[in-house]
Amino acid sequence: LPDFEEHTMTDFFCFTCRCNIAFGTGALYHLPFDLSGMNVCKPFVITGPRAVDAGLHLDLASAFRETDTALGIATLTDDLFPEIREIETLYQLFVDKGHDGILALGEGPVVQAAKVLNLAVCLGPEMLRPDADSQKINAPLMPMAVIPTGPSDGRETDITTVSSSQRFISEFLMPDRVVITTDTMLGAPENLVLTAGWSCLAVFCNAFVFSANPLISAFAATGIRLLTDTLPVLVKHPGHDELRCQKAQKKRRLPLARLTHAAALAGVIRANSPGQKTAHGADAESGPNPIQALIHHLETGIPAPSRLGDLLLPLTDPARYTAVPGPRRPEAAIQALQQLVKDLSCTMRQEDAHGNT
Amino acid sequence: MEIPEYYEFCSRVNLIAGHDALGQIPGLLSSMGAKQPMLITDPGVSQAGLVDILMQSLDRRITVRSVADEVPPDSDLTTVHALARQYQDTACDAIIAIGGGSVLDTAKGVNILVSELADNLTAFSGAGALKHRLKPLIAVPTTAGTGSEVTQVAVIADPDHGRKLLFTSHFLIPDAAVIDPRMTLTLPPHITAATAMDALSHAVEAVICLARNPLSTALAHEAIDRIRCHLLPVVNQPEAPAGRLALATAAALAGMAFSNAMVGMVHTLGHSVGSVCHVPHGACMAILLPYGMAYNCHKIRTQLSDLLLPLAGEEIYARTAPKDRPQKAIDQVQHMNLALHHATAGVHAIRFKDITDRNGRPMVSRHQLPEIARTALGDGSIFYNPEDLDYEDCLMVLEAAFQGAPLDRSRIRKG
Repeated sequence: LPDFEEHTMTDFFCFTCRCNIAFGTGALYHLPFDLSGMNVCKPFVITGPRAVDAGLHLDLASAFRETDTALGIATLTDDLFPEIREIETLYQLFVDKGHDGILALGEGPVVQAAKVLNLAVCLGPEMLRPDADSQKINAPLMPMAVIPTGPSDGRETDITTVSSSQRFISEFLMPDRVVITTDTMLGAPENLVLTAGWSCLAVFCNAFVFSANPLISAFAATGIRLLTDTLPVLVKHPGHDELRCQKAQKKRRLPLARLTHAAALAGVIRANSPGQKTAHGADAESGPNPIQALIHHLETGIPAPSRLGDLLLPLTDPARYTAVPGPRRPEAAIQALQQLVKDLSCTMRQEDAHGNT
Repeated sequence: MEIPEYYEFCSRVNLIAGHDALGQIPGLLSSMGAKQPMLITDPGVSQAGLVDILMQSLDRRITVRSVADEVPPDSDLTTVHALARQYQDTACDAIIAIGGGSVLDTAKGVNILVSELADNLTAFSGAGALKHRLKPLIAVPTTAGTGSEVTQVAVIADPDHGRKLLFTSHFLIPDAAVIDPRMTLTLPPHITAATAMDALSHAVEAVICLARNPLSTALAHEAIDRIRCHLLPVVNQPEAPAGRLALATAAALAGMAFSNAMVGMVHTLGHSVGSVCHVPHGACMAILLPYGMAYNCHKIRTQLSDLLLPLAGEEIYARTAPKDRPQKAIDQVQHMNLALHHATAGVHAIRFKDITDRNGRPMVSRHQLPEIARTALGDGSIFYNPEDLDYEDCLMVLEAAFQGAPLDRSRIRKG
């Protein structure tokens, strides 16, 4: 295992979250007012084929129906990160039509494309070239909002984007607003849902245990509680028959939105932990099951991280936390994490068996 | 986990906290393309030598073009307009505000005028009047209480019309809040106590009021835990940098929490006591906080139970029966007030009748309570309180807080 610097002091920390997170029913309908507050009158919407097939672009347009805002909507060729040529076309469209803000309606690739477009419209089309100067981003970009269509990798709130051959990192790449609502949740296969869940849980637990930054702790604790409430519901009601190009089943939309919310928090945590690796030596998003790797490291780590015992609090509740004596909490925290993984896996197998029958 | 049907969380400030955090300011300004800031502060901060500490932290990249060190305690439109002219006359390109709530609010007002190239601040009052990002603003708090360094609000007095103007916008959130414990080391114990109780009231009301959300609650719990652990030790031993850093951090966390969850009747009544009797805000908050918790208790039992852990620590939480936890949380705030009262040799008042001015004269008279209650009904924070409040309710709470008597909960009309 690589060395991992455990932060036990709060002598110095910094934290930023430029992004306004809006969550809940009807959040889409607040968007016109928020854009107007940022002086955006003609936003440019980038979306993907799946969102369009599900009619989400029409839902978005209807949120603006009673306003003076003129939307321009561009759909990417597919749901993967587009070729630079396609972004060049979007850039030209954006400039020719005089747009003044960007809305990304979709998942990771759509958000990445929107961020790259933002770089081009603010800092010039040369930002699309392979030799673009990544140090050039030193001021706020065009107002940008992201409307995720499902739980992804937290890209919607982080500070990076990747074009064809360049990786850009800047706090100004964090969008101004993320709108998470049940209205835009698309169907999602269980493996994607659980992968997103495990990835976020690993980010939160890792950050909670190893960072002494109080804001990261608060975000991580909130994320853990969101997941421990939400993942069991999603696993119990798997959307086997859900199509990714259709809206999620009604009963799954709220838990999916909550999982998406958790992913957004994970993005904020990643944005504030630059270069920080997880305890098990890799980015939490990598690997088939990052939470298992984290558990393994926490079990075998000597000495146990000083905040491991505190992890029991967000994983359970104040009553159970205080009922366990301090010295036994690290072990209890690992057990709680293992139990969560076991319960979810069991439920999933049972539901699978039930579905097959 | 309680999640409201709809909520928003926004805190765009870049929060930087540490024992030499001031040293980050040159880099921060450079990253925003600024190198000629105006420094805004007040005479007390300047005389305490805090401006000198800040100046020593700047390097060759930064030239302070203008220093305005006469911001009054309740800053007004005249001050803001004069400082905006000074900013423009000296060709500044950013603002560093070092001080308490009045200085930080003044700096926000100046930033509106110089960024919008305007000459009438009143035109920007209310919510949502600002549409553009403002000039770079770095806030350096010298008290650990108001949370103004992380909030989207500014209050500026308009003495000609006998009112206070409220400005609200995400664009008013400073670009960076730099928390350095050297800035609060010289605060006297009773002010440390009052400002920390102000922060505690922000955190507690953020947890119990109607616009609460999971993120603001988590931040509030972090803040409360720090205040419990560090307030009394710092009051007893003021020159403790680690404790000072913890309290200043707690104030910023509480500021972020209440900025996203709003506040309720503790602030409703506290604003009015301050307005009618000119009692310092922190003193009002300390006295009113347990009364606000008690008044709303029947509506917020779960939240109060959860608050017991950060307010009292795990031992007290564990040995208190679940049904008793809400009341225990209220008792804990009262115990905190009492401990501060003793630690400050009685200067930290625990009831309104004991608050005196510098000449030892009482600041709050019983005959003023009706006027305070009437004024409270016009305060916007009343809408976020869990339980309804009318004139009679306000008066009942004020009378109890004046005497230091327990609230007669049988008189609360449960809505």
